[in-house]
Amino acid sequence: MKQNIFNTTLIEKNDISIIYINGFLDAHSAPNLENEIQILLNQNKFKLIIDFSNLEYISSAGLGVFMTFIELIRENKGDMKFVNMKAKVRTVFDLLGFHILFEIYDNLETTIENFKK
Amino acid sequence: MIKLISKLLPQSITDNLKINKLPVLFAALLIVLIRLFSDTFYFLFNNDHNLTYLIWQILSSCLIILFAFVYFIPNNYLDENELSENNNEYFENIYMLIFLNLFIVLISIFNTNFIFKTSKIQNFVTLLFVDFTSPIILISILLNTIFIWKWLNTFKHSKTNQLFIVLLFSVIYLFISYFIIFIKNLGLFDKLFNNKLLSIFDYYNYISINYLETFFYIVIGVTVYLLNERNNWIQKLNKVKKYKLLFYCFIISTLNLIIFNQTKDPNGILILILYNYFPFSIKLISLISFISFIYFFKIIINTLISLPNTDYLIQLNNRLEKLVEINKIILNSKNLEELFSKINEFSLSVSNGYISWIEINNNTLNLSFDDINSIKKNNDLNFENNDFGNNDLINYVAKFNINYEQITYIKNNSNLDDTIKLISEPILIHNFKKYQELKIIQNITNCKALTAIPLFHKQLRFGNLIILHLNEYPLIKEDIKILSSFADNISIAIEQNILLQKSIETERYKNELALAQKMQKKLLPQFNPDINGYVIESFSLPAQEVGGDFYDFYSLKNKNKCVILCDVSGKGITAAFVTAQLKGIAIASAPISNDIKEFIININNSFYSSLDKKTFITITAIEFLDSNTINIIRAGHTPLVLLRNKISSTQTENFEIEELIPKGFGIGIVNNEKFDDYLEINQIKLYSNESIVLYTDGLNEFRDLNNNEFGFQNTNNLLKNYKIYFNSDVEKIKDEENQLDITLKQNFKNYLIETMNINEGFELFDDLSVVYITKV
Repeated sequence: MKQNIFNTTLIEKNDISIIYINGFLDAHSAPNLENEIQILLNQNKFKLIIDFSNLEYISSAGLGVFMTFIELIRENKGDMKFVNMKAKVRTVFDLLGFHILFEIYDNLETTIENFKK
Repeated sequence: MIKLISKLLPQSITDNLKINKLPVLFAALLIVLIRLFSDTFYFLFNNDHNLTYLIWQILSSCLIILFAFVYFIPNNYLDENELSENNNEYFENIYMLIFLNLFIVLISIFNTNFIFKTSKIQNFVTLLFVDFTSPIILISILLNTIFIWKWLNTFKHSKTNQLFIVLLFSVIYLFISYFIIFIKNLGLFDKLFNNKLLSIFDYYNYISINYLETFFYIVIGVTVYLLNERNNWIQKLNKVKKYKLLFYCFIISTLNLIIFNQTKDPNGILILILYNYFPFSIKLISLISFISFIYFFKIIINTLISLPNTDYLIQLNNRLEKLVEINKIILNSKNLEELFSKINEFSLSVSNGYISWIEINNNTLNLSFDDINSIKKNNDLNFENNDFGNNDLINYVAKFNINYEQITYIKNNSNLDDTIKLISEPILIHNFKKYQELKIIQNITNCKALTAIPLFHKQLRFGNLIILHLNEYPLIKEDIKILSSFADNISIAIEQNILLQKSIETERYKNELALAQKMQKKLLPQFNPDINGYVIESFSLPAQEVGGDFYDFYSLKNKNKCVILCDVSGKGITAAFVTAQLKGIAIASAPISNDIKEFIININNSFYSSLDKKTFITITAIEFLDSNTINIIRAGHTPLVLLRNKISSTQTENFEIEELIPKGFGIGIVNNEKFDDYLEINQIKLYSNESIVLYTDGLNEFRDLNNNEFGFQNTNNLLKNYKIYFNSDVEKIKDEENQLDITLKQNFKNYLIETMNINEGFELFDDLSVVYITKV
């Protein structure tokens, strides 16, 4: 299988970090995202929003990345919320039961709002 | 006695004693004895030199020479011999020749009157004397010839063959002339030839033979002189050996000159001895001793010429040999650490160094973790744990005659780094007079000069080889050139070594992968169990890298049979391990689980604390309650697909697709309480010819050559279409209840492979597994 493209963009809004993930999140690109999140955690930023608008595909390795950090983030009174998933990606989350464990939204504003609560 | 002689003889000749040439030796000795007896007999009873006896004398002498020749010539004579490493063979040969020639000379200075009263043998003492000394004289002359021929052949040059021909013709022509004179003297001419031909040979008389002889001797002398042209082997000798050679050759050539003179003296004892033993051989002795003289004389000249260049040539020779050796190292070093340490060693011998070390910047070279560890271990270098990989850090990978502290001190207190920062060629600092800031090196190490060789890997400078010398001005320009090529060799050696390591690693990885794949296959069931009322097809297509698919059949505590299909997240060896664990846990849990829900919960229980955070397992499971009722569970897995009977309006068979998605988390994601709470169990009733299919996401996430994903819809259609095409086979099973046709079991797999174009050699990215259950 070809190397598929993956990249991230980071935007900070006050104390919330928004990571836009784009392309294909699989075993090759997962470490990339892992690094990004780790850097933020090292800076004590525990309020994360992951924007899936341009994410085409996610594999179990990609899902594993979220699993790795969620416990630590919540222990630090933060959270990782997901927004703007494409249908295919949403299905994967739903099948696993992740929609119970994580908050998944349809629009960014609402997501940011929910952090303030 | 033989031992004594064999000590005088060179190795190659003593070797012959071991080979079965002993008979030849005995034959020769026999002839000598026979000759002695016949001479005695002849002496006592018949003193006339008639023709018959003459022929016997010549014949027997020739036989002795022939046997001696066969005996003394080594087996590999005609092969190219090169002088052995320590040139001993040559010296041994000369040594022996000196003794033999000395013997002849000693004989020749005997007072003639003492032995010979007249030219013929008068008494028995003389007879013994002649018969004892003659064979030895003949054999020593033979050995002289063999020696010269052997070594001229060994050190052949372009003109050798031509000169040999000239020599041969001259010798033959000369001896034909002698022969003609001889026959003439015997008065046989008239008997053998008629008068007309006689006139041709008028020329051959005693006077003209002198001019002939002189002419040919000159030709032969010049030829032998020119034949002895190659002297590289002499140049390679050290001073002591050269002087030894001079001395020996001087002795031999003098001895040969004396012998030559003696053969010209008509009243000399040599002529008398040989006249009585091997008549007319004196000419041969003459010729050989002359040739010997010229040969050894030339050697003397060659040695004298090469005397002044000795030291320089030897050094040059040593250095070239070192360069050849470095190439061997390149091929033979098992790892970088060994390579570096050998390079260090060699740099010292090439450059007259006293202290040396190699420093590298690992960032550029990118050594593997194993290499770094082995270098650290074997050089007792004092690194801090995190230092390697640091951008500017220089690390010392091999050192000689100096320790880490001294190197660090030099680096910190001199401007050595700056001095050599930008060099692209080796530099030599003769002394530190103009480099005051490097003086500290002298203070610490007593070394007065420094050579620095930059090391390159793929055009990137990755380090240096530093050599310190005790003396000022230790090297000349040519040495620097050699060091340059030495530095190039180092780069090649390192690249080669790195490539080799990488290919070994890849090979090892491939082997481990193959092994893991083999093991993984063994986890899957060999055949499907008989479950009353159902036909089951199942298979798993493995991905290129080991994956995490697993399925198996169990009996639960309530005696019901069940099937589980699982998918471990991630890939590679880790996923394979978890799969193996899973099998073990499943086997252990099934018999103690009352139903399928409990079974799956037990699995989550076992895994939840042991799986690492990012790993999870998805499972679908079916419990067979009876021949038409099943319970289904789905823990995070892809939907189960139910294919219901549907009679269309046209009365053809068709099937309705129903995706079943009972609630359930994947294994290892939440704790048991949450898991239990959320997990749904559904009961399904199946009617004849209906199917339920479990599959893993390798199927719906399958990508073709154009990178298009197969998707859920295509998957469902595929499952349905199979039923339409092969429906009739299910009828067959109904009738032949106990027969499970193997081709039938493979049907769905082949159908899938064909439909989805999964050709041989197509790389599956993820394991693809299916369990296709049909109610009969």
